[in-house]
Amino acid sequence: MTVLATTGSHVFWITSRAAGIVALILTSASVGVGLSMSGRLVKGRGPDLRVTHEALAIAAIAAIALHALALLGDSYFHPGVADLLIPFVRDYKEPYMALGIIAGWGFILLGLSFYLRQRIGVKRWKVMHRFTALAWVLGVIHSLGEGSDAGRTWFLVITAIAVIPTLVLLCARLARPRARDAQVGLAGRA
Amino acid sequence: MHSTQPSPRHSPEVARRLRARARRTKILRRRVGALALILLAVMWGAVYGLGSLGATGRVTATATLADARTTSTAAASAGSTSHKHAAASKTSAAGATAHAAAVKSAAATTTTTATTTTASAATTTSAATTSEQTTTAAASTASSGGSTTTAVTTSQS
Repeated sequence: MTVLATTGSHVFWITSRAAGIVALILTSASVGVGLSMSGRLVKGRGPDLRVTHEALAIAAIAAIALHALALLGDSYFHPGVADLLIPFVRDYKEPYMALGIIAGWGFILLGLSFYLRQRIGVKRWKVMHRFTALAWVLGVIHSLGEGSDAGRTWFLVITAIAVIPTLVLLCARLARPRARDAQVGLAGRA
Repeated sequence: MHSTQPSPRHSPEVARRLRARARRTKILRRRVGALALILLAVMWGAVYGLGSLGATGRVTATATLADARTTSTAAASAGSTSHKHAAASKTSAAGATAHAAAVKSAAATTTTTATTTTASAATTTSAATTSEQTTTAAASTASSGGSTTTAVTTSQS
């Protein structure tokens, strides 16, 4: 009660920011687990990893939704629904806000497309699903560019812990096909 | 042509494995859900305790050396309640929180960013945001067990 009394009208603002940080952590973890699955970095725990990946993604989607919904209650920022759902509608800290909206939609739609993969076609869905990493990168840029705590040490430490391992995995994943192509190319020349 | 042979999926061994996997899946989902909720609570606390509250609840003020010393002394004598109140009021001085300023008295000549919950502080906030040269008193009042602490501040914009 004391906390609520002292935070007053900031409750929604704080909740939104907290949910945004949680979304950043969970999306990073989900993408990281997905990359380690696709890169076959962890052996023998495939089904468990898939379940973890799915659960993390759903939790991240919930956090993204809370991040946006809580802003609706903020009396200072006071956005409309369109401001939160459509990029570039509100001229506030652009382009970072628009990047955040695009990243949010990207993560939600690409994440939930898992349940439509039979209808979409598994091969096509796999190609689509790779763009989740792009949505994640946009989300990281959004949090560092727009986040109210972006300059704070504690926030940077949390972001580094969450983002760097996934970024390393993503770089390794992106570099691998090139290395394989290079090897194929060398073998072809030889 | 459907086979009348029992499917291998119905064998007890497979059924046992499927049940074990379903149990593991359930546990994993619960763990991830619990982790997400714990993270949300921790991050809420982190933002509340460490983050800035934005422009609405802020007033920029300069604390005088004497007043800061008074605050420091009174805060020290008031004890933990005063400390908590100062922390709860989320007052910050030169990048640190107000309770840190009150305890350390380090922010005497520096700019003070104060977020207050009292009515007088609200006056300070509106005055500071609307006026260029506002001098207001009583940005933060901390009281505990009969001892009252008053920090006199001069606002700047």
